[in-house]
Amino acid sequence: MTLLKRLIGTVLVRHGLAVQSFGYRRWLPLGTPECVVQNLDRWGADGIVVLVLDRSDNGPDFNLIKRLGEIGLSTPFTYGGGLRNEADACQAVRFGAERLVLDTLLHYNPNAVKAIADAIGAQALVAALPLVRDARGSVRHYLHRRRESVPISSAIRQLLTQEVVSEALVVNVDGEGNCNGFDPYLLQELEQIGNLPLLAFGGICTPDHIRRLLKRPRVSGVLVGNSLNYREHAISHLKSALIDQPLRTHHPCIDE
Amino acid sequence: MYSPMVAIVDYGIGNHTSLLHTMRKLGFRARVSHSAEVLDQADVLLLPGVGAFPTAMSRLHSLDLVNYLSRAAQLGRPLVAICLGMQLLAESFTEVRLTTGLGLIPGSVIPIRSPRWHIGWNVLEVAPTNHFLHSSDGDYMYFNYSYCYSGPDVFISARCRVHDNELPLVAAISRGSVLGLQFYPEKSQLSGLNLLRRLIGSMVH
Repeated sequence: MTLLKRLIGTVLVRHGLAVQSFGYRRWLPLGTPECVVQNLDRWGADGIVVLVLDRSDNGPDFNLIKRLGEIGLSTPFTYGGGLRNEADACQAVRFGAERLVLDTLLHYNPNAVKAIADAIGAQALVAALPLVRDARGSVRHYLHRRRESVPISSAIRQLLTQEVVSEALVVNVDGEGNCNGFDPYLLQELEQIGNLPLLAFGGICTPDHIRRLLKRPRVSGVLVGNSLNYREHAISHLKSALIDQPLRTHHPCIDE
Repeated sequence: MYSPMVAIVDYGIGNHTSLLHTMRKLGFRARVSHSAEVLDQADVLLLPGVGAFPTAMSRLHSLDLVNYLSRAAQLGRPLVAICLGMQLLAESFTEVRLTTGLGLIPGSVIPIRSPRWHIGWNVLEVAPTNHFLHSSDGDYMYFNYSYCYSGPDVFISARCRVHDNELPLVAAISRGSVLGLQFYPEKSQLSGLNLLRRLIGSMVH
């Protein structure tokens, strides 16, 4: 047997609540992050990513990380949101995050990304790249803070090719909140930069969407968010429909 | 009924919070500490770790935990080391700068070459001679690391394969009552929790 690909449950958090996001413009509250995360843990997700969307000026939500750490999740937990430096990263890991997603920092302070990698190891770091396509079809890096897109910078390309992080999370900004599938052109762009394994997020709902992504050799995992909230054991249902794919079969957690 | 006491060795690096709560969920008494007085009370010592080998060793030295852990191993006390913790059991780490490890298990720690990472779920292939892990043979565990143990076969308790056509990587090592797990059992859902429960139970009794 070999290394499997991952189906990862994703929780977006805004103003302290887990939310369903529609294009990062409209938000539907779902409940406490703890509740949503515990569901994913029970349902057999291969990983859980929690992205806090409103921390870019406030630092990480340590309180949330600690609360989630104290649940004793038996699923790998990745946190993203507001991480500024090495001290933030070490504290987040200490409170319970196995891996960290860096987004804003990649663009505004690539040296801080290197310092974090030195402290906790590149294996614990994921680079998130929100991408859009412009009118001519060119792939661009979307900066949430400035609400504009720019070409992927040479500094970011360097972080990826030098493998300062261990995976790149390609975020389909325009697809987020809809169910139209993932834009393959965004992945093609990243497939031309270095050799990092890629994760995909945004617009992914159906088994067919996931199957198309998992067929790409560089894709190591698929992140699914909104569509997991519509039914109990959504991850298990997806995995049953994807039995032909190199995914782990779900085993119920110890509490079930 | 007696519940074993597990002490999670706190040297400032590692995911102690979730490991502590996992231990308690499994029914063990658990503490996090770097104090010899607290660690002495434990039936099993757990050495976790996320981060860089040189930084971790430096922290262990500064807290006088290198001597403590060496003495504990000499006395035959059960010690389970996880991920970076497992790598620290080796004699040396040769990447970046040469760093001496705890030296509790002969061997060194080297970078994974191709691919550079082993991240995700993979099957454990347990060596037939390892009685601590044999019930977990064939189970999926969660891995996330970029350096691996290299040493004599006699200390290798389990392996895993990133690709079918490549040489396997070391997934667990052991010597006497010292055991290192390269994967995260506490993050490996039912298979990992079962392994931890059996492992700690069998090390204590």
